[in-house]
Amino acid sequence: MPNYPVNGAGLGLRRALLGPLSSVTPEQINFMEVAPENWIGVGGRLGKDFRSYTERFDFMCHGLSLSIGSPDPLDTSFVKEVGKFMREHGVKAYSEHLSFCSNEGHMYDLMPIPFTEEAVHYVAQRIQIVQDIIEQPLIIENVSAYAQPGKEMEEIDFLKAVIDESGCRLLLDVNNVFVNSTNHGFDAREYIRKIPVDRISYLHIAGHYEEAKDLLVDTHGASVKQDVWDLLDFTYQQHGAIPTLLERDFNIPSVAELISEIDMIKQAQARIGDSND
Amino acid sequence: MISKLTELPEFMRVQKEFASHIKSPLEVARPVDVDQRHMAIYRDLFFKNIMGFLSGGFPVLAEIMGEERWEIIGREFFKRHHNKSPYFLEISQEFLAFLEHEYIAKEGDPAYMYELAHYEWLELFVDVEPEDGEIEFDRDGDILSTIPAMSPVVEGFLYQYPVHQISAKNPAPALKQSALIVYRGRSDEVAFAETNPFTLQLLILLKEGIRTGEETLRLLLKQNGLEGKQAAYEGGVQTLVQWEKLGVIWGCSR
Repeated sequence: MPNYPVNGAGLGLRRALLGPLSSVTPEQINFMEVAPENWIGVGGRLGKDFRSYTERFDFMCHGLSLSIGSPDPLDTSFVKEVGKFMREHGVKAYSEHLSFCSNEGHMYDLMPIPFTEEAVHYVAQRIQIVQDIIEQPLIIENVSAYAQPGKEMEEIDFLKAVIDESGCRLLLDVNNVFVNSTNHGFDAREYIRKIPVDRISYLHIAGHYEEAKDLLVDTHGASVKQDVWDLLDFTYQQHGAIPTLLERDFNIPSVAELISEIDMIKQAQARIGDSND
Repeated sequence: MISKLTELPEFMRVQKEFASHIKSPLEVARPVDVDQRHMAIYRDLFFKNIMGFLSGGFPVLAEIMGEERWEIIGREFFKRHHNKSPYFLEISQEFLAFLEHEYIAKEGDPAYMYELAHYEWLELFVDVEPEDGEIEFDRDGDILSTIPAMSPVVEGFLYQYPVHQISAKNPAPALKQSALIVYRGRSDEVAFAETNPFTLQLLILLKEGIRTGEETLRLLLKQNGLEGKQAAYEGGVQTLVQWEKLGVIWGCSR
C-alpha cells in the first residue's frame, strides 16, 4: 500500500469558501489544500476561521510564489516561513508548480520553464535547497502551459528528469496533462503511462476553458470536463486510486455541487478499489 | 545590457525575454518560437490577475480613476515596480510603495490619490494583521486607574483630505485635515473613528501599554504644556470613555 500524505478526495480551500464550508465534515471532504502565500501572516477573523479548518481537516500546502525555476534568486527566508506555517498548522506536505512566476520581482502567475538540460540541473538544485529547509521532499506539479518557449525536450522527459535529479515527489495534475496534450499536441495517456508511480503524492483535477478547439486555458472556473474524468479513470487504472483534490477558484458553485464533484472522485476511486479486489 | 544577457544560460535568456514581454508587450518582443495567439493568453492572464488584485485592494480609487486611467496606472505598476513580496495580500502594500516612490502624477490625477490609497490599504491591514496572542481584558473595570487594553490592531493617521468620505459620488473633496483611527473592534470587525491631531498623540501613548488611563492623560497634558488644566483633563477622560464605547479601547488589561 503506497504511503500518501493524505487520503481520499479533497478540495482546495479558498477565502470565499470559509463561510460556505463551515459545516462540512472530514467524511465529506477528506483533505484540503491552501496556498501558504494567502495565509501566512494573516490574523483577525480570517486567521481564526482558517485555524478552525486546520484543526478539523488534513491539510496540504499548495504554493504559488516559490518560483522554483526563476532567474531571480530563491527566496530562502520565504521557504522558512512556509516551513514554520506548516508546523503551526500541522500541514502534511508542500507542493509547488514546476514553473516560474518572477523575473526582477514577483509577477503573481505561472510561466513555463524552457524544457532544456541546463534548466533541469538549475531547477533540481533549487528543489534540493527547499527540501533541506523544509526537511521533507518537495512535491512538484506539472503545470498547464499555452506556450513552450525555448523547448529542447518533451515536457514528460523534462518532468521526469527534474524528479530523478532532485529526489522530489510529484503532484500529477490530470487536467493540466489534458490541457497541454491539446495545446501542444501530444498523447495524454502516453504521458500518464510514463509517470513514475512511486513518486506520485497526489493528484489534481479541475475544469478548464475552451478558448479554441486547439487552445485550452486552465481557469479552475468550471466543472470538470468529461474528457478529464476519463483521463482520471485511466490514471487510476494505471497507477491505483491515488488521493485526488478538486480545484475550483472562480465561479464557485454551491457546496452541494462541489460535494457532488468530490463524490465523483470517490466513486472513481471505489471503482478501481473494487476491480483490484 | 546585451552583453550581460548573452552571459546567461540560454534557457534563462528565454525566460527573461518571455517575462519581460508579458510585463512590457509594446517595448519587448516575444520569444521567436511563440506565436501571437499563444502569447496573448499569457499577456491577458497576467494583466487581468494584477488588475484584479489592485481593484480588489483599492475599490474606491479604482472607481474614481475609471477603467482606462486605472489600467494605465496598473500597467505602469506591473512594468516598473519590483515586487518583493511573495504574499498576495501584500500586493496592496507593493502598489502603495509604487505610488509613493515611483509613480509620477499625471494631469487629472486627484491630489489625494496617495492618501486615499493609503487609507484603503489601512482597512485591509487592520483586518488581517495578526494579533500578539489573545487579548485579556475586562469590560467592567475603570480604565483611568488601570492600564487600558487597546484593540490589538489600531492605527491613527493624519490625512490632508477627508479620505474616509471620498467616493465616486464625492470625488473632489476640499482640503481638510482629517485625523482618522482605523481599528479592529471587539468582534474582529474593521471600524474607524474620526478624531483630532491631539488625540492621535494620546493614541500613541496608550499603545505603549505601560500607563493607566489617568497617567497617560497627565503625561499628554505635560507634553503639551497643559499640566494642571482641569478642562483639558476632563476632555481627555471623555475621549477615553468614548473610545472604550467604540472599541478602540477594548477594556481594562487583566
